[in-house]
Amino acid sequence: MFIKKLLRYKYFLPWLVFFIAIIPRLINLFGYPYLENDEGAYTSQAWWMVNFGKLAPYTYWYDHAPFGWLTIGFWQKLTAGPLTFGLSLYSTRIFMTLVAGLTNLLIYQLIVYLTKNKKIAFLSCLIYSLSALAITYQRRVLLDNLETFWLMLSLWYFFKAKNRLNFIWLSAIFFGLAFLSKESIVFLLPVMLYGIWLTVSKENRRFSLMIWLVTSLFLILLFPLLAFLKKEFFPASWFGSQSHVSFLETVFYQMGRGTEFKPWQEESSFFINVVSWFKKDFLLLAFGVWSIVVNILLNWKDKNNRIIVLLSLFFLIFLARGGLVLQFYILPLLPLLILNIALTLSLGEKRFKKQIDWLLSLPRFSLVVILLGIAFISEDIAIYTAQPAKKQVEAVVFVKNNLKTDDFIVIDDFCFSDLRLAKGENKAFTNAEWFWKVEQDKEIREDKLANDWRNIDYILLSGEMRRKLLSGELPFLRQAFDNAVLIKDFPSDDLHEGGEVIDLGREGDGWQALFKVEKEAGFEKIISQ
Amino acid sequence: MKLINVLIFTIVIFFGIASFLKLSLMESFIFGLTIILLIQGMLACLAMLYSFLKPENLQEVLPPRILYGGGYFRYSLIVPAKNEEAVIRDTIKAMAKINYPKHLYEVLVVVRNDDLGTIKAVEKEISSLAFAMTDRQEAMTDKVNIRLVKIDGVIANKAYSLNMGWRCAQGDIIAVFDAEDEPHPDILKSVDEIFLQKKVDIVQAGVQLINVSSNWFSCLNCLEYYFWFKSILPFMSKLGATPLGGNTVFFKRKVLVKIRGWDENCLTEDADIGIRASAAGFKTSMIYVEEMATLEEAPADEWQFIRQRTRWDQGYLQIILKGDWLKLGNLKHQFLSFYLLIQPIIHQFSILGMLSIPLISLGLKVPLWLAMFSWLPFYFLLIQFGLYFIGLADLKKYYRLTFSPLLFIYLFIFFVPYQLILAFSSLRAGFRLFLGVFNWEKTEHFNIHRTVVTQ
Repeated sequence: MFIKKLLRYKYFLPWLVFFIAIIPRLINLFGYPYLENDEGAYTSQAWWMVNFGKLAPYTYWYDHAPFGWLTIGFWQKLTAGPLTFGLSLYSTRIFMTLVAGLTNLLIYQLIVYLTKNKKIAFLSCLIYSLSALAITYQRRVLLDNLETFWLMLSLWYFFKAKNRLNFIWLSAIFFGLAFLSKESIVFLLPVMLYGIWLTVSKENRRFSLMIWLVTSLFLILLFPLLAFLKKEFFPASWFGSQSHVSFLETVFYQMGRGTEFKPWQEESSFFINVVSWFKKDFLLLAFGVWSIVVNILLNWKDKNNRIIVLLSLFFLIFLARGGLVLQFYILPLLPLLILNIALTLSLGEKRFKKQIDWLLSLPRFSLVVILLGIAFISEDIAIYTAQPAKKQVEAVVFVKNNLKTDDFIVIDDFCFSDLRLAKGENKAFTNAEWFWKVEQDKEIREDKLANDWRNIDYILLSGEMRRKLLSGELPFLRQAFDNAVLIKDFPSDDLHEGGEVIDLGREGDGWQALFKVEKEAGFEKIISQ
Repeated sequence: MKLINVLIFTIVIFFGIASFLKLSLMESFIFGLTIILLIQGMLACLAMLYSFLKPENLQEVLPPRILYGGGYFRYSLIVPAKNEEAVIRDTIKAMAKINYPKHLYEVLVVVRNDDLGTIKAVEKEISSLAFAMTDRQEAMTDKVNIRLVKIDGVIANKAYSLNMGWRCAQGDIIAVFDAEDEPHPDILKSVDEIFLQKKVDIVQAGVQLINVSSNWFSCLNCLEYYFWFKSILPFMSKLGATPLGGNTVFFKRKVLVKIRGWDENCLTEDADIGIRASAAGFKTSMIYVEEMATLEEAPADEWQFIRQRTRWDQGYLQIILKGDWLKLGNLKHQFLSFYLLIQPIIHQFSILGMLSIPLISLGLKVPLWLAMFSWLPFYFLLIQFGLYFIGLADLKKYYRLTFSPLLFIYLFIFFVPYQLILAFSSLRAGFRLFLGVFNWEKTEHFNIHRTVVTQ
């Protein structure tokens, strides 16, 4: 009786949906996955933007539009700084968790609107909440999480528009913000336009298309406008001007990354990641892909269904385009798969109403929820138990307690803010620099280090840094590393990822090691294997 | 007084924000101007889009379903004419064809005694119509009462003609039409229904310029009218402002009695009477549908256009200075009316501002965020471009116009020159007002609109 009363309360299910997304992400939030480079980059860029008025601590090179880390920066300002919860990434991971909760809420509302069935919506959101892929990457401080949130908000207004121009306009704004968080969303633009053409009545169609296109394009073009205003749009070589970063050069560079192999080749990043994704979360991906097929074959005539399917397919095209694919690129696709699953369930409910209603009656529904929960949680229990980030934190603490504040330390970006910002008795290491910028940024390498590796005092080696050193991508740093001795090793206790034992030093674990650079020749180096 | 307080408060807040942001004088100017342009752009786009925001909005201005069958009120259609011999005969013909009981409406063509050409044309048409009627041996009740009202007097403007006209009128409802108008045959039936169903005192029906390809600016002029009557007036009406056009407007007699007709010293007597009627508590309703809009023509050349716009802008400035808008009920209505009156004068400057402020920011060394901010009003300009594009397609569809597809491109090419010509007209209006020049600069008509619409 009490449960029935509770279910009748208008906001009970939405709140429940919000918390079932938050709770799995909060458990072991600071332990798993390991603290990654990009997380540190966005965290530091956010704080530098809102606190120091700069686009980034280093030369901003137009890798992404800065709106994503501006959003993160607002959170940092709201919570009295990046170090309020301890490590800087702790704060921003909490923010990402909240974003995940809101995204889940939006998915729920959208499914209720599309299917008119709260149980199907709840089940779908439960799947999303417990998805190992979703949990892993939504814990991380990634622009893709923000992109996904804005995309869901855009779709919410899009589907609810019903010929109302103001909703179409809002949909365009949020789509534009999604792009300004992460550019990959642009692959969905044709589908959105097609969707407007499909769903809006003839009288309002042209206005809707115009408003949506002009609004979203205007927001999208703010990114190149930023470069244009900073006189960094064109490459310096085109006009013989002083060397500077260039928007166009970055665009060409990004488009060319990872194009050595075709997407169907086993060496391609797409292929490698597809295998990895299915290993991590087989249930969601298999069910999701199956739903897409079912929706195409059995429900293509339904306009909303068609749009959801096309959005999913177009995003798959982005992933399989033949360029670089990183593991977390799948993030925006996950809610689209969930939407497909929901539409398939809804279709099934219409065709097998008696059977589905029997299955979804309250006692059996609870059983379904429990079984689903067990199935998804057991897919990758390590996300709740493994703690590869623990040793990373230990390494940072060791540096703070043992090294001098003016030592030049080459670090992984995850701890940039923690070492560079002072808080209370917490010292600031003003010469802690991200390894990638030490290698590439003129201001660091030439101005600060005078192009001499001997000016480096320490290297806080991470798995990713080591991999790049060994692959030859960091020749300048390699010289320092070859002349460095191990001070302290921080091997991760959890050398597991998904239950497999992996090689120490392989990218993907939380291993850290502190090396001191010997300035004189004739030393022996010891590198732990 | 309240309005001034609000203005002062706004200025103080602005300077507070500028100080907080540590802006220099030039930066404060750019920042402030950008905010104004953003507000102006947003309101302008909202007004242009109002009728298309949702289907219900368009329904509000459609003619009502016929419940009473028409033929309740008696109408007096006043047509002031000056040097209109080229067009007046066709206008009278169109008036005679209005689909309404003939004994329930009359047409009064008001002409000055010394305008012999127009008088001759009117008399010729009246007798031609009478002959046609007699020839067909139609009942007396089917004969429209069309009268020529000759006037003289020192003042030679439309307001004076209207005042002379309505004093001779016998109808319950006094309507205003221009000498070149082509009213729809069912206009009186629809207006009659609105008076009966909505219990309003004034009805403003739609007017549409139709000669989109006569010259380089006529397309933009026609589109101005399209959005003005289809969306902007309904928007302002919904907010409680009382915009009135210069023709196809219908007044209950008691309105004119109460506010004593049109102001003969004002160059935009239509806007003025709207303000005064609203201040007196009279209610207005809008009606717009393309098929029923009264058709007119855009001025034939640039100088005609400048004179027309100068007259309008000067008239709006007169009304602002008169201060009748300050007598409106509350602060909201006062602000809206003021905004409506100032729009024709500032709109083109705001568009030029949207184009020039970002360029100024580019040239000066302003903070990056300010430079980005100064580009935001440009968004509303793009929306307006898009709306004009769609509007032109709509006009082509509704009125079955034929023109070169290149007109869609000329629309963009001539957009800025059009704003410049409007800006020049506004400045000219200001100078004329300053110098105390108030003569009526009449627009000539050539019946272009009657040749443009294909049957």
